[in-house]
Amino acid sequence: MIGAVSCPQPPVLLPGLTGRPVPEVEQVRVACRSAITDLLGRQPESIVIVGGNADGWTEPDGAPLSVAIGRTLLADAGCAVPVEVFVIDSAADPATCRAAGAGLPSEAGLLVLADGSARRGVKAPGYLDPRAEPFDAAVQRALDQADVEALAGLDAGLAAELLVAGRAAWQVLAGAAAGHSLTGRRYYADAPFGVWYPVVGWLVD
Amino acid sequence: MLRLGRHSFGSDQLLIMAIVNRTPDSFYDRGATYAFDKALDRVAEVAAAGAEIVDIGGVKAAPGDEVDPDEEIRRTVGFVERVRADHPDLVISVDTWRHEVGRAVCQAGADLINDAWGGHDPKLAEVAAEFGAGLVCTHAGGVEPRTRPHRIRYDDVVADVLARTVGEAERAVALGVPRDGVLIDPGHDFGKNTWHSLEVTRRLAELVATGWPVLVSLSNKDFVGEALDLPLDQRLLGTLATTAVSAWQGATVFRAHNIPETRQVLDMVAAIRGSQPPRRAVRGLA
Repeated sequence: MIGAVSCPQPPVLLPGLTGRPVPEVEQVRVACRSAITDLLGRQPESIVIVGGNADGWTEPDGAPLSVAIGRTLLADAGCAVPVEVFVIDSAADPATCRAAGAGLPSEAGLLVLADGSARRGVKAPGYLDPRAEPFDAAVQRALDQADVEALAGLDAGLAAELLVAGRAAWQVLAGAAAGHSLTGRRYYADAPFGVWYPVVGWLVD
Repeated sequence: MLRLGRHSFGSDQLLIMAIVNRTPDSFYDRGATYAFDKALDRVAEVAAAGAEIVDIGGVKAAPGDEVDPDEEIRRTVGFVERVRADHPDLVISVDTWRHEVGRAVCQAGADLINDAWGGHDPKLAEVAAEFGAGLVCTHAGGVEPRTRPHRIRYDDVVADVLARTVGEAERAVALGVPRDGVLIDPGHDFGKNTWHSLEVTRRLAELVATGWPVLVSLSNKDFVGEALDLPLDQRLLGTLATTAVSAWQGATVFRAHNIPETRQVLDMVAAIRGSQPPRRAVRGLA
């Protein structure tokens, strides 16, 4: 891969789903657009959407939520290169995810759909779990520093308990990025609705 | 499509006509906006709260002190001119049954004549036609202006409403009033007891089905008070319930005293029927 972007995957990013535009959501959308635009600036031959399948949300065309969000964000950024889709079983173990990532095309840019814990506060969808904030902070460090081993080492069981919908996709990214010299850039990271949304780009040095 | 003066509205829009009385004795506000400046403040306030139309009145509907045409003109014309100048985006309606007053306010810039006494003065529609103003054709049961209903009986009140309002609307268009500026109003409480007003509310969809845009004037009226046995200052909730039921059946324009509350109810109805998206849908979608 020549670079990657990690974007969150909440339904609020689908067109029109908030009713009128919601400022917090538009802020996330703008960050995603910037990150994807920077990735496209590296002129990848294609973009591979990498997402999990476990949200119980399937679009009419059968696509999982992650893929629908990925397509929406790519269209929003004016992506003109071919788009492929790689869906990982959200429950796949870390080694399986990493191996799958290693097999992705070498000249592609990755758009990884992944968000952190949905238990970031008492009003969060999954209520407050005190372990959520440190878990997300560890992911934040790994993303900021393009730390492949830290991502690959995320605990699948704990991630599931914390309603982290991005663990498997991040570990696919770890597999794809292994061996590359990368720099991370954070575009956004917050939990406006109790779910942690990071927007981070990794570009090959 | 509704076109009033320079203003056009889509057929699924729910519009508020805010009541602005230049009267010392109207039933709800009791003269609060009789003074020119107070009335002007009221216009600015209702515009900010989301009203698209102001309905300026110089004579209270109920019986009371005589107001001759000269005095009615004195109360309304200068005020219309000022509102026209200060609020170019507002539709200006004037509540009058007299053609002399209609002519004077149209010359001053009114967009709509609210003939709340049901075509009592047949020349009023001619004035609307002459100036290209819109016209509200109201059912008042054929009574004299400023009278209270007394032992009025209808075989079928809605049939009478339909016959009179649609007849008046067609006559207006034949005289040259712009078709897309004509509305019909069942005239709650006008020539009606509470049973009649409740029935026209219940069967409002029959008015909507005529294709003429329907205006309803419900605000704090006696039929609300009698339905709930509540005095004037406690009729807002009943008014808003009636507003929601009327909007759901397809009424277009809501003549009202309480603008922020009415706007909220109409926005909610619009969201339920899907003609307006929610302002902020996030629940379950984070």
